[in-house]
Amino acid sequence: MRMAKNSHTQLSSGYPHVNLRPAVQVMRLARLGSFHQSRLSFMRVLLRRLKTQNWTFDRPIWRIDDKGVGVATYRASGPERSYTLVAFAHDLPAEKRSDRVIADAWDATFALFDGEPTEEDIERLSKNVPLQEAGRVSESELSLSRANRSVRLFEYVIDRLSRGEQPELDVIEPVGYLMRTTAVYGSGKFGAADRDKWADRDEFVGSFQPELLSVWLTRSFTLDLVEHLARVRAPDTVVAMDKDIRRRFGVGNSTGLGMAPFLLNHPALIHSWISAREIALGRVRSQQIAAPDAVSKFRNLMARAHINAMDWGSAHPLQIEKIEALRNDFTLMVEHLKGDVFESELPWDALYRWADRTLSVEGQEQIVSLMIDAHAELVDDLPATMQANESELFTIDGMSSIGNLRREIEEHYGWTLSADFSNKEAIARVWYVSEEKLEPRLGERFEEPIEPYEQPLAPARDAAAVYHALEGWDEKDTVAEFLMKHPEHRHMVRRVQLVAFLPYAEIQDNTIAADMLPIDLLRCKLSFFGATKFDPRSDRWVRITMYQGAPYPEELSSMDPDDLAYPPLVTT
Amino acid sequence: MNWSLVEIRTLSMKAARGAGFSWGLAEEAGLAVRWLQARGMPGVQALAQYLEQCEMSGIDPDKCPLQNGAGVSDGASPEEGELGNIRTPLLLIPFVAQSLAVPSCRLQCGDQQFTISKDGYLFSGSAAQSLTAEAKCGFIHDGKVVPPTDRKSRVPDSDAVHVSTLAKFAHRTYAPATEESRMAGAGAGLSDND
Repeated sequence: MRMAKNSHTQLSSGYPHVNLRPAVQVMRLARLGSFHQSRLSFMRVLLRRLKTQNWTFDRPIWRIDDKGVGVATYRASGPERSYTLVAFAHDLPAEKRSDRVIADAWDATFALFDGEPTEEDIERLSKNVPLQEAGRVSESELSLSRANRSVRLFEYVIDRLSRGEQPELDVIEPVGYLMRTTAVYGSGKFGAADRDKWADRDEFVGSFQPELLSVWLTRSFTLDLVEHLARVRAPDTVVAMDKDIRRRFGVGNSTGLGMAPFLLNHPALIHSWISAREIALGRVRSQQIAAPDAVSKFRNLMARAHINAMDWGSAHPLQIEKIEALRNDFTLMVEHLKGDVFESELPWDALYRWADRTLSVEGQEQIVSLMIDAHAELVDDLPATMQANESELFTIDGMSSIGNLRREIEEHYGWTLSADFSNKEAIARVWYVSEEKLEPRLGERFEEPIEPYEQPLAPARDAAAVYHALEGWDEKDTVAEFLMKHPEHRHMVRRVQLVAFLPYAEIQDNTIAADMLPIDLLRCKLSFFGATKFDPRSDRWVRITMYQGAPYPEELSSMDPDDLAYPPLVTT
Repeated sequence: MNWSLVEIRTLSMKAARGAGFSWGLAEEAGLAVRWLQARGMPGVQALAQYLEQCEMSGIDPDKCPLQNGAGVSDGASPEEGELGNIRTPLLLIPFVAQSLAVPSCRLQCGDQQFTISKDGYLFSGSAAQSLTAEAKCGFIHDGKVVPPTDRKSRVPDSDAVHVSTLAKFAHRTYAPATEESRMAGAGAGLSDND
């Protein structure tokens, strides 16, 4: 994979007024850990496309018994192809229910089948999908996932419906889902089809589209399952759930450290995501005047994002602090927007600059998402750029000079050169993979015997190490000569050269420092998915809600999925 | 049982790392195996064979197909010339292919000869013959047209024994599980069953 220089700035040609935010500002963990969903988020991109392409949906198989055990299939049919979620519902004893990746049984397990499965396919999947990592899927499957019931809501909703009553919103909202997925595997994992097989399909342009299709269909399954169990319990008194209440259920997700290294392991992909978002912001800020419909859209979405912030609960001290700051930011925004802020030249730029001076980082990134969301026509070409072909490695330019390499490190990793990596605090952590289910973990370098197993997830330290290893080399010597002598620096030299082309590819923080918060990495990725209600359960795992408020498959043709991404202004 | 190319690439990278190679060369090993397998050639078997060779007699950078292959790819080796004795030279092919500035070249490995293009290669011998354990290698540019090789998307069950060998090496990159790491390392502790 060789790249053209400045590929990210070319994307923004035609929008010359306001410079993009530099990587040194954007790529800090505290900011990445404050990102919010927007219309560039992958769930919203998926639903928008399924709607535009007039996809249809049905449930060919429902063989779930009175105990809630069995199989169901959900089919999505598009212009050229169809996909089928095969859902297995299990009878899981409460004591076995765990979201941890080390669990070995779940309430429900799923695979997204490429096409329409035969009975033989379903039989094959029934022997493998319930085992998850211990089973095998095939090239016919695009994803493998599982979900557990919410103890707080699952039984509550069955009980209410079976007694002829609707569940209450103030009970639903703090949780927001009936089941939460605990892993959604795609792209070749456990035998599933490689990304190469489907990457060029229209319906999957962007990132994580098959996985998120699977989660959206899973949401339908969770609602169908509670309604089924309520009907079984009390066929005479049961009621169907009100459609507006139904839509307040998303799918939960519980995400741990397994996701955190992703941002470091996929630099080109991360650049494509962040770059698209920054270009979107740059385009909005570059508008000479504020279009009236964009202003009214912005005001509407802001009021609804405010409701979302008020409903957003967390038990984690750091997140509580951030939510409180965000609520305060909304108060400031409401006050600020009472003035004639949209009358000036470059009004969106002025609004952004005001936010940058005035709001918390959480609030700044919220306003960025709202500004993007108010300008569909300016940004909707960008999701198609949010992908990267990673089936090849970035090719090292061995003929580049040591002088160049030095300058690239100084420019893109300059801050690491003054850091003291002999200080224990700076290298306190070790990313490693546990032999138990091959789960990525974070350990303490000076307290556990794990250093020999360290993963290459500390680019800050490693960039500084390359720089120091270059001492004594002549400016005109080549990178190839250096790497022949120092193969131990090969992974980092590759990274330095890649970042010179793709500036948003690198996190500008020390990922092994004692005070590093893995949840910042998780939040960044999950916001690009389109997650809401980010609720850290510790500094290294997090609950979120996906598709809360979104239309169900049967509603997609008559509703606007982007509008529904924010809570309604008036709740029942 | 068969494997996706993504699985095999990741496994190969971990295996090379587990056998003692740097992360950067391990990444190259993953890619090299993927490149070969995608073109129906025994990449998994080649890496398994090479890592076993390293296990028996240590890593010799001068004879290493990964280090020398990376050197070719980086341009540190002459465009035409002698590479000296290389172990499991089949592993050189992806590096040569990807760095080609001309339509094709001929890689001589002992008495075996491969004609390599950017997207495939020609070899008249058997798969077993392609897996020469060690041979004197050199290459020269060529104008011969090499038709693109048919692509494979899976690694077949017949490679199971070699996949197991790679898994054995890959396992060395995993830290033994302890209750301490299970709790602290993964960040559990709060009830996740609500």
